Amino acid sequence: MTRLESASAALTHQREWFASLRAAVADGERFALVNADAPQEILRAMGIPYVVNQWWASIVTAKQAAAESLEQVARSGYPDDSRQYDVLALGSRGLDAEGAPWGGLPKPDLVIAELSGDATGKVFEAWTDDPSIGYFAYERTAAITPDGPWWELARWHWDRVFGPERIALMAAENRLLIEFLEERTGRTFELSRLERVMRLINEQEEYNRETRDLIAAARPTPVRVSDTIPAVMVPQWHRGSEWGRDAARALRDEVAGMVAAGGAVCEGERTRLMWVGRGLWSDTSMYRRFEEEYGAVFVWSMYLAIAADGYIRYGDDAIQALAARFVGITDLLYAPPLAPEWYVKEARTHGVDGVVHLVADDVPGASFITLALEEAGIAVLEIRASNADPRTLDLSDVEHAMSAFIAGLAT
Amino acid sequence: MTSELERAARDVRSAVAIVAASGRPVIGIVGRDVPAVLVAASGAHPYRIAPGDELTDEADAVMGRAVDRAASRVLAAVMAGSLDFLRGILVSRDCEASVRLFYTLQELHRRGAIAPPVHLVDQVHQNRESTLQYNVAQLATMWEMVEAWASGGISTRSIEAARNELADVRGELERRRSWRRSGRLSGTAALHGYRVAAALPPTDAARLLRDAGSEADDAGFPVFLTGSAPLGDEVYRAIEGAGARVVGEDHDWGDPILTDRLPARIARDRDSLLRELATARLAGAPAAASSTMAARAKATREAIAASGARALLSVVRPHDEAPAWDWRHQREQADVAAAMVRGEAADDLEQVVAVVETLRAAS
Ligand code: SF4
Ligand code: SF4
Repeated sequence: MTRLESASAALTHQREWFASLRAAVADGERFALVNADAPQEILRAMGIPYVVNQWWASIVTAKQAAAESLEQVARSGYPDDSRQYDVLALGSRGLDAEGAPWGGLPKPDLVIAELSGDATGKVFEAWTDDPSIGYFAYERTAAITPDGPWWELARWHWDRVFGPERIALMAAENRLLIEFLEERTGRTFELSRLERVMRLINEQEEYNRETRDLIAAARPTPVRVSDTIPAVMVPQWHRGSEWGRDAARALRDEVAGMVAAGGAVCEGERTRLMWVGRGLWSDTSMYRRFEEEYGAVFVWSMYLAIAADGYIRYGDDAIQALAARFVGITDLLYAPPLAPEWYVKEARTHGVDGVVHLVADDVPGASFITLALEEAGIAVLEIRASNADPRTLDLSDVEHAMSAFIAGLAT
Repeated sequence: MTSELERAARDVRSAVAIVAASGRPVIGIVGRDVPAVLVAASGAHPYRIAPGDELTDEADAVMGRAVDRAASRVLAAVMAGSLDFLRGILVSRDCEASVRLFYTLQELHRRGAIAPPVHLVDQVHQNRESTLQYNVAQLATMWEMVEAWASGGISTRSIEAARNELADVRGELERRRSWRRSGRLSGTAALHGYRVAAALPPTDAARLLRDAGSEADDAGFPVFLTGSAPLGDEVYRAIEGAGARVVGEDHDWGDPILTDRLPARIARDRDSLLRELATARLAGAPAAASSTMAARAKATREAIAASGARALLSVVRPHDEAPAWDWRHQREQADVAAAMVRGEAADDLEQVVAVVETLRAAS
């Protein structure tokens, strides 16, 4: 079982892209740091390069520079135990050139975030302690109860999922962001370019949808989740570019080829599992052991599934459609009743025998996800993790609990 | 000696339950962002829910443990059935814990596990026309919800009457605030006053406040309190028991209540009226969870000056994230001695007292 070509290609592209971004910024190009839950499409349409905060945090973490970045946050007088992941980029400015991953994140001219939680706005406001950095904030509004299954309605009838008021607010804020960006960068916004970006994204996510459906239907499962994650996520950071769209198509083609050839992660697949919540995918050896010992395979990842169901928006007004994409994106993953119903639907379409649910204690509504799955007759193993202190999660305990759970499913 | 006001403040819930038993609809409110005047105008009594004493084990299992205890304690009270006398609960999105509380209550209600229905009054907080329009639309929905729960119509005249009653209570609270600033009222007594005013019917609250009177002059060391909104009065008692005086605070069970203006005149059309209500809150004192660090630091500095505090004390409970972010700029701009007690230490009153001692020594 080799790594997906799409995954390797995505990772190579990411390095090249970041190097060219650094070069452009060194030449005086203005660039933005954006939180993942805030719209990035307007930047793309205006040709303003950007880095997604959570992507950079993942690089800082992978290069073992998280602890030092958090120390830097504390040194500047802010808490180092709040929004730890969101704050890594802020702290990583203090890393010396040698210690900084990938040569370091250049100083952004602009930061953009949605006011989620009590402190995200403050994390981004902290960037403006350097007065040359501009900050734009989107309001965070609360989920409403949709009048049907959101994964069917969201593409065309998004106002029935999110409500016209929420969308109107975010659309107005999109227009304010455009003014802010035009003022700050001297560039001009053109609606036709945003429309093109939105078209490319719908195409990209339709490919992800086909990939998700292929994997859901395939028996045995053809690809590892740890492989599809980079092959989906890197193109997601490049949403709205031709490269992103083409990468999603290449992934679809590659997976289709594997399914046609009868490829299998595990030839003796006996148990199909779904992982809900923050993944522990870096420890691949644990998953291999479950495959070997029990023929147990994880067949689903939220990254591919939310790309498939959560992002596509068709409509004539690109500013509104963009608002409809972002206004409730995190609700779909966490807020009841939207999230629990969706996990049940995904568990069913993927034919899973059991769900491992990593419950971070700062995630709202987690208990209702477990409850909904159990009510649908799906066995759930809950693993409790403290988000404030991930070190409290003992991986050998996790492996032990999972072995017992999987053995129980087999009987 | 325990005053009548203090006794009332300690047990507002029984008094409100009696109101409900008399047949008057009572609607619960969570947070400072729900305009009580609209509820009162429907004929229902607006009762702002304070964290109760119920054990939170069950609530923690449902909502998760990493949430400000103020919200878990409200959830525990609802799950225990202690608030079944309510026609409904209006939750504001004043902080993340309230939003989480709302989702949990809504889901529990949908499942038939709790009696009162819930509605989120989703007021957001930036100084923008688009924000204001969203808030107005939310208040219009709240208006209809309240009318349905109270089985009573809201009219210009009923709003005017409700405003006048609430204005009487405000008048009493303002008098007490001036006493407090001139050393004639403790922070603990002020807190009791705010709690009674937010929970009891206005005529009862106004009478209790009127009768309470001022206290003897006290030269206690004047401290301004920031950080988490207190669950009960324990933190105030501890600070004042150590010879200090809490002369002002910026949490939403204290002085900031008085900065959200009641509508000056009642506009005839609903839209203008709701606009005025929404604007009143946006113009009020900034709250930790919904404002910029810059706005908070400026407000803290001004409030310290207005209250005559000689020290700034921040007491921040576990899982209350915003105040710790505000702290750097608050401290830098305060111009008085400043100290923060955070996390588990904030639950240990001896540690809070020890910090008060160091502040006194430093100022
Ligand atoms: S357009 Fe969308 S929501 Fe409407 S029927 Fe078709 S799939 Fe369902
Ligand atoms: S059954 Fe064992 S040997 Fe065969 S693919 Fe699965 S893990 Fe490998």
